[in-house]
Formats: sequence, C-alpha cells, structure tokens
Amino acid sequence: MMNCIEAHGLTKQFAGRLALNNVDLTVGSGRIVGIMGPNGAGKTTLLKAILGLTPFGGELKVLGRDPWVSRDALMNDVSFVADVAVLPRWMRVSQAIDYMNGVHPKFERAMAEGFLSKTTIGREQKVSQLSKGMVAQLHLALAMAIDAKLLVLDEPTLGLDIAYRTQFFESLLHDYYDKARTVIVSTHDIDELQHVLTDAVFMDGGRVVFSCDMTDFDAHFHEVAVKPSDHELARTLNPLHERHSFDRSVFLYRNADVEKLATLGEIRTPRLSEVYLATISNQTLAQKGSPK
Amino acid sequence: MSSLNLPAQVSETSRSIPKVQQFYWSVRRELWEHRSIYLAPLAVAAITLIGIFIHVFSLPALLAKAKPQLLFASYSAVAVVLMLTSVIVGSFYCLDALYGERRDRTILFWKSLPVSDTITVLAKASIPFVVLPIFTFALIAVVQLVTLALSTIIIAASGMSVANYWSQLPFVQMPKGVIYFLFAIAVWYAPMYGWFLLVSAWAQRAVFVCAVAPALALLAIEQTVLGSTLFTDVMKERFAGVFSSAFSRSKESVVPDPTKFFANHQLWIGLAIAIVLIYIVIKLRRRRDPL
Repeated sequence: MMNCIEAHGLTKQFAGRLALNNVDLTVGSGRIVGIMGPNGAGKTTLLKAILGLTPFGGELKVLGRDPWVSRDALMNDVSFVADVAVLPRWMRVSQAIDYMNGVHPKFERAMAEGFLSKTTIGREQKVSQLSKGMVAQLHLALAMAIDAKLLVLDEPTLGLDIAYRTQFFESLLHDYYDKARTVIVSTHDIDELQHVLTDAVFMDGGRVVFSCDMTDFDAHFHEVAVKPSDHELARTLNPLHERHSFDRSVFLYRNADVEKLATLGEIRTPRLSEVYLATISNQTLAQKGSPK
Repeated sequence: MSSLNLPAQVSETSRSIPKVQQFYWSVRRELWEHRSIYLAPLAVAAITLIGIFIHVFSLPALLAKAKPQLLFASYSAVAVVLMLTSVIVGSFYCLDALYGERRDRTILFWKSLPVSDTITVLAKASIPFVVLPIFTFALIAVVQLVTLALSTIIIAASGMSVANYWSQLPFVQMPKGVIYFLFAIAVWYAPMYGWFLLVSAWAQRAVFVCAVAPALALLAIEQTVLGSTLFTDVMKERFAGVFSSAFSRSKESVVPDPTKFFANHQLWIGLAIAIVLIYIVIKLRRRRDPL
C-alpha cells in the first residue's frame, strides 16, 4: 500500500533560519500521527509543506503527489483544520455548507448537517457570532464531511477548554476515523492525545528528534521511582532522563532491561509528556553542550 | 459509534465538479464577503432617485421650453453617477480582494479546498470586469425606468402630452450607450484593476498607499527631475480619456464610436498589461501566506 506521506531531506529556510532541517518522515495509511514540539520547532511549517502552502527543498510526496505542484488536485483528498481563526468571520453556517458543497467533490452535505445537528450551532449564525469552541466544532464538522484520505489538524484545539478538547477528539475518532484514513495532528495537548495516536513525532529546531509507534509504547518506555541510595545504580542503566521529586527521583528509560529495572522499584508506563520533556530538554542540553 | 459513520466505499461515488461550478461559487463567496459590491451602488442609486424625485417637478416647465437635451439630462446623469460608482467600488474591491484573505488568515481555509489559484483569482477579477458592469447596467435601467414613470405621471398630471415627451427620449440609444460605455470602462480601466489586484496580493500593509504612491512618485520624479511628460500624459489619458476615446461628437450630441475605440493602440496595450498583471497575481497567490 502506498504511504500517505513520504518526506526525505525536507528543508525550508525562513530569513536565514532553517524552519525545517533535513526532515525525514514516513506516514503509512491509517495512522494517527501526533506532531509535538516547542513553539517554532517547525510543526506548522511541516504541515504547510504537506498541504502545498509553501515551497520546500528536498523530496515530499503526499498521496503520491508533490503538494507544491498540485495543491488544488491534492485537496480533493485532504482536509485541513487549523486553529480556530481561519474560518471567515462573515460567513454564515449555511453559506459555508453551500460553498463547500459547490466546490468540493467529496463533501457530503448530509454528513455535515448531521454533525452540526448534534451541536447547538444554528444554520443562520455567522462564524463571528460563535464561541471559539463552536467554531472549532463547525470547522471539524466541515472537514469530517469531506471523504478525505488525509486529515491535517494544526493545533485544532488551541485555546479551547478541556470539555471542547475532549469532545473534539472523541468525535474525530468515533465519527470519522477508520483504517482507510490518515490523520496528522500538531498539538501541545500531549497527554490528552497519548491514547488516540498511533505514532508520536517530536520536533525541535526544525528536525524530527524523536518518533515512536504508540501501539507498543508501554513495551519500550518505563519509568521507575528510585530511592536516593539506588541513584548511582539507576544511572548505569542509561536513563533518558531523571526527574527529582522530594524523596526519590523518577528515572525514565527507553528499551531498558525490565528485570534490572524491577530491582530499583515499581515500574510504570510513563506519560508521553514525560518522554517529550526528557527528549526536548536533552535536545536543549546537547545544543548548549556542543561547541558552536 | 455514530450512525453517521458512513462506510469507506462512499469515496467511489464522489461527484466530479466542473471548473465552471467552482468559479460560480467562488464569485458567490466574493459577493457574500464584499457586500459593498452591491450595497454601495444601491445606496448611490437611492440617493440619485431622491434627486430625481425633486427634479421631476420642474419637468413641465422644461417641456414647455422644449429643450430636448435637458429633458434626458437626468437619465444621463443617473447613468454617469452609477458608472462612476462602479469604478470606485471596483477599485476598492480589487485593493482588498487578495489582501483581506491574508489579513484575516482565511486564505488558509480557502487554500484547503480543491479550488485552484487560477479559478480564485479569475473569480475575483470577474467582479470589476463582469459582475459590476452587469449589475450597474441593471441598476441604471431600473433607476431610469423609475425616472420615466415619475416623469410620465408628472407630465400627465400637468395636462401636457405624454406622447410628445416620450417621442423625445432615446429609448434605444440610451441602453445601447450605457452597455457600450460600461464595456469601454471595463476594458479601459483594466490595467488599473490589474494593478490594484497585484498590489492587493503583494502588499504586506497599507494597500492603498502601496497602490497609489509609486504612481505619484513617478509623476513627481518625471516633472521635477526628468522634466518630461511621457508618464504624466499616459496617466492623464488613462484616467480622463475613457470618454473621449470611446465616444465622438456629432452635431449637438455625443455618439459611441467603437471603430475609433478599437483602433486605439492604447486600449490594446492596456489590456495586454492587465492580462500580464493578472497572470502575476495568480502566481503570487500561490506563494502567499497569512500576514
């Protein structure tokens, strides 16, 4: 089966800074990929390259097409939800549906209306009259009504409260996702998405610094709370990171010997955000530590 | 699991959408967004009608003096005022057409749909070139018909001959002249609209200043430093010359002169420039980001 996204040596320069620095990324069909990273890590630039919104260096194929060359054709099979600010504020809900129905061959009007009927959004309301959460619901309803092969979400729940965030991803999973579709989402809500994602990708400084398959996350990542007397022993097992709390330290491991870890204390599966913080802070340390 | 979860084979039945239909909806969305395209001319038409309503009472006196030019002056005035309005509305529309979608970040939404930059830009360009002239013609026709109705009532009420009044009105020449003049304006001002669209797609701020300042600077430099009048003459001809290029005087009236108009190489140079500018706008929009 053709990969949904294939990027090799993807590079993008902005004002002398590398927003994307030699990114390699392969996303198979049916995956739900979370892209995480600090602000300015290159997440949005990567998504923009995938959507054909920006030219790039290197090689990138999305659904077999070069997005920069054939954005409009690609968009027959891709739908996109950005943070809540991109829907036109003057537009009525009915106009949005009419317009999408008029220009998009894979838009199902009945589906969009079905999704909206589950919300309190009125058909004659303007986007400017909706709350932030409702705009996100509307945009998701429009995007989900497209029978797309790839759904791209760029921080779709930014600035929403937890109820809307949860609902957003729940309806995405229950009403939309099936094994034929691929979802790629950039987000800061790392832990909320831990059990939604099939893959996690961390970016920093324009590079992919970490990626893992979430389906066997708990087989690879472990954390152990270690008594001070065992710290030296814990450090010999190559922890990714150690985090100090008041009476013991929590050591984070990737692919460590589970039997040896068991001697140090109780083994738990870490939250994805722990792995994220460990990766990003190690990254920062490595950059500061290396000369130039 | 929701009952709305349609099976995957829906993709097999997807419709195909003709480019013409995408163009049609792109034009409609411009009209939704830029309501001034029709609201401003409607407002001007309403004000014009108030003026007509006051003027119409002096008709019997005019008719008694039998000055035919003055009799249909109000009809011409309506046409000229609304045509001028359409040029102003078209200019401001063009300046905002590609800047507005970047300023409010909606370009990300529009570009997430399978509508090409070519269709989008051509739909935007169709507003000053097609939509506004047609709408303006319809509006002029309505206002003139209302004027005719009012005049007829007043004349009939004053006991004068309606037939005499009607016989002096240019029922055929007037709409023909209006259509011709609207067409002439659209093609004559094409490079200006093209330039405004280009600035709208390119400028990062202060679109109006970016559109006007280069021309003013060129005029100033030419007159103070170079001492020539080439650019000044071109601009003068372009902005003030549409009427004299498209019409000729005959006896006591002016008549459309398409032969002279189409033989004018300035018209074709301007059109060629407009086409190049719009082509650049299409290429530019592809690379444009939200501000």
